[in-house]
Amino acid sequence: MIGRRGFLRAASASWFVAAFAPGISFARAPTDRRLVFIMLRGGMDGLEAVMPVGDPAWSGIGGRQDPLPNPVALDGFFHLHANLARLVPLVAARELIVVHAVASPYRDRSHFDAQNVVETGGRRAYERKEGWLTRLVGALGGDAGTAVAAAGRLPAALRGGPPFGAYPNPRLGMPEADLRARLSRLWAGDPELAGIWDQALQAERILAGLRGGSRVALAAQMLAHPEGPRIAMLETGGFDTHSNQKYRLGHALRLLEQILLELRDGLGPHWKSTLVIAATEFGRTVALGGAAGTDHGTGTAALLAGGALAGWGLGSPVVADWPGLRPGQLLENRDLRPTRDLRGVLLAASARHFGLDPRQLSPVLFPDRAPVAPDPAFL
Amino acid sequence: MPPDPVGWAAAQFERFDPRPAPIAAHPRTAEVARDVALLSHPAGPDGRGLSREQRVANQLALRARAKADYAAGVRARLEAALQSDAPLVERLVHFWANHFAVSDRQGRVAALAPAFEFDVIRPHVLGRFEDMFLAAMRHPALLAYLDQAGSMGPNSEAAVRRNSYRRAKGQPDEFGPNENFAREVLELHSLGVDGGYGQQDVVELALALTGWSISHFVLRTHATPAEPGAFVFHAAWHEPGRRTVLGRTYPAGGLAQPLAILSDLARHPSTAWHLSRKLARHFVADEPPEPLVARMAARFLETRGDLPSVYLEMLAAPETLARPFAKVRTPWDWTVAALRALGVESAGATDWPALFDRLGQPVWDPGSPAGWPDTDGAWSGANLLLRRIEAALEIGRLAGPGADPVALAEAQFGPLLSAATRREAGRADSRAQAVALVLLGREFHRR
Repeated sequence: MIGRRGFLRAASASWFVAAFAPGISFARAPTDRRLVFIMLRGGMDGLEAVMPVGDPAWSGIGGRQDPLPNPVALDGFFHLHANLARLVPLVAARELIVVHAVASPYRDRSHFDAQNVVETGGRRAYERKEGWLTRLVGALGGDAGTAVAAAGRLPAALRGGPPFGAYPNPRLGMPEADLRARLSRLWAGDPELAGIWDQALQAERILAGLRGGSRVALAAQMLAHPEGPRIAMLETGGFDTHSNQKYRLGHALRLLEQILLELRDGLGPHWKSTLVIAATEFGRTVALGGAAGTDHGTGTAALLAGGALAGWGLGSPVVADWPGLRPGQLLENRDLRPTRDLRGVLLAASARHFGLDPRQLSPVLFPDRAPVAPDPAFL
Repeated sequence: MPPDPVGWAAAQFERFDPRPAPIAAHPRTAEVARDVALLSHPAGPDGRGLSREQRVANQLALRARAKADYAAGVRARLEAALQSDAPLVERLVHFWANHFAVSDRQGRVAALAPAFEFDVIRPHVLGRFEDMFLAAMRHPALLAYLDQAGSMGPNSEAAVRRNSYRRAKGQPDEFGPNENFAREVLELHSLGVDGGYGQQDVVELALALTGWSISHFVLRTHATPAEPGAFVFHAAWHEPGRRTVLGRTYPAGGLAQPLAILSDLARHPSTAWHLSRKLARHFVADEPPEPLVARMAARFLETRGDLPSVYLEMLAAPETLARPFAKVRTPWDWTVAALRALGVESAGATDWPALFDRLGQPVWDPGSPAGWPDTDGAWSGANLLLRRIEAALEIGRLAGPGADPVALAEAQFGPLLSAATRREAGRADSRAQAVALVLLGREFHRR
């Protein structure tokens, strides 16, 4: 139950209040199925998150073997990073799938441009002003203008609708009734402020019935709420491991593991009809460099999760057309070569999940002169 | 905007003090960097190695020091902003500190971030961009944040020696170049992402910058005679040979080589455009008018990067004058404006780092080298609004007796004061509430 908090009292020291605290945004859509898109900011090293130990060149890559003890074998070829080990029950239930050697069309090395390409679904950065999730909401018959950000800033993937508001942090109190009335009058004539204030009032009605917990847990509960949003986007970071990758990536993956588990727990019975997609803007160099870290790369791993996956009949926990890690097989002699387009994965998975025709969805979700083909692995 | 913006700005340029009392009281870069280097060096000040207990003790001491320096820095920054009679220039300082953004609240970079703003940005904010740029490039805050201190050329004398054992065995190098700093220098600090450079330029600049480091910040540098924490160029780490950046070739020549490249970057037309657009986006409008940006860039180039000339070009522009309240205030701007309007000049006992964190803009901690965003969409949201409501109420309570809040609002905004704000402030049930309502009104929300 939310209540008033004096702002000079110290904020609760949840580990989410760390530098990697996820931003959370929502959008409504007329559907009973839920979608959570997790943007892993920084360029996640897919090779360390899901290690291709079966590749003959793997053991020759300095510094990469068993970064942390006890990785988990996913199949005969790939091992899962030890800090994702609590996701193994999801893997066993076919509720977690790894997509490997995947990348967006972006082939340069700027974080901000690459993130823009992933979030807007363009072929080049800043080609499109609105996000791919915005277009998906539209395709579902929802109003993109209802996208709201819980952290105060709407990410690119949900931008493009008319001015938006934001869900308040449920740990903060709302002002009491008398002050509320005064604020409503104060802002009545200003469309921007009035709009934001309306969102806060509406969100409070929803939040009033939630169980509580971390921000991700609350987000999951909001998705589960009958009047709540159906699309959520989370942002998490800490993946830009230019130095000390073993420690930093280990930490970032543990946070990701926690996020996925809290989503599952918070969604409760709605987990069965939820799809989670976690993607990053690019991978990292195959070889480690001067500071026990890696530079920006290309091919990487993405994760699909959710109870909805169990019904997709996917035979293996890892979907990959593996290109190999020998020097001649690398992209530009330094990166994992991507063999699938992230947009094709987003398209096929969204279409399958929401029961839409992928060929009709393609030009809506990814308007492009060269149409994006849905990834056959998920049809 | 005042009736004569150019005169108004020029007068502030005259009055600006880069080292007012609150700033002068803060330790300078050399001292902070030295202490941080000694506390964070894994092998200790004389390189002989430390016991585990000593290392742990140093780590705790470093954390405590960083936290203290950071908090003291935030207070100093705020007091300088509150006491200044050149508030426009204070805002320019904050703009440039965000341009060369670092992000940390508890480690080495947190300890150094205040000194970076005070010792690099403030002295050069009314000077030439090239001087600010070169000073920033050599400051330990930026070099530590962007992982530059250990960058070593693969064919440098030191790399060949240190990696020889591994190379003989066909193993990958343990020491090598780091591209992170070079990339952000090109993408964020100078040319901008559309500035016409490619991956090869990043690589070449990174190689040119090998050896560009801070003494005692990474392993095995205790042997240098340089003062711990000082900028140092390790010639033995520098990649030999010529470098080609943006089509120009720079001869081999130790420190002179990266210095020449950086100077050229600071004067490049793409840099002029990039910086002009950023300034216009921050001060004028989310989508700044291209003709304005073009005039500012031209000024930059014809004055060889004289920043006051560029600022005056921006302020004199009809596009700037035509649009009051075009930009939403960031939490920092809003807080400073609120406290200045109330005549508050001292930081008092408030926990400012926590406040700015709660308001959504922790000082010197934007989360990425790109700094805080400049577009309005980034600062609009119910979450931020609710926090601002609480902050406004608290500031209202803190504000002592003084001018009637409606009179205060009239003095601030004149004919631009809306009927809604005037009415609600007039009907408030206490002075504190009236002050809060003025601070929450649409006029304070924007600038």
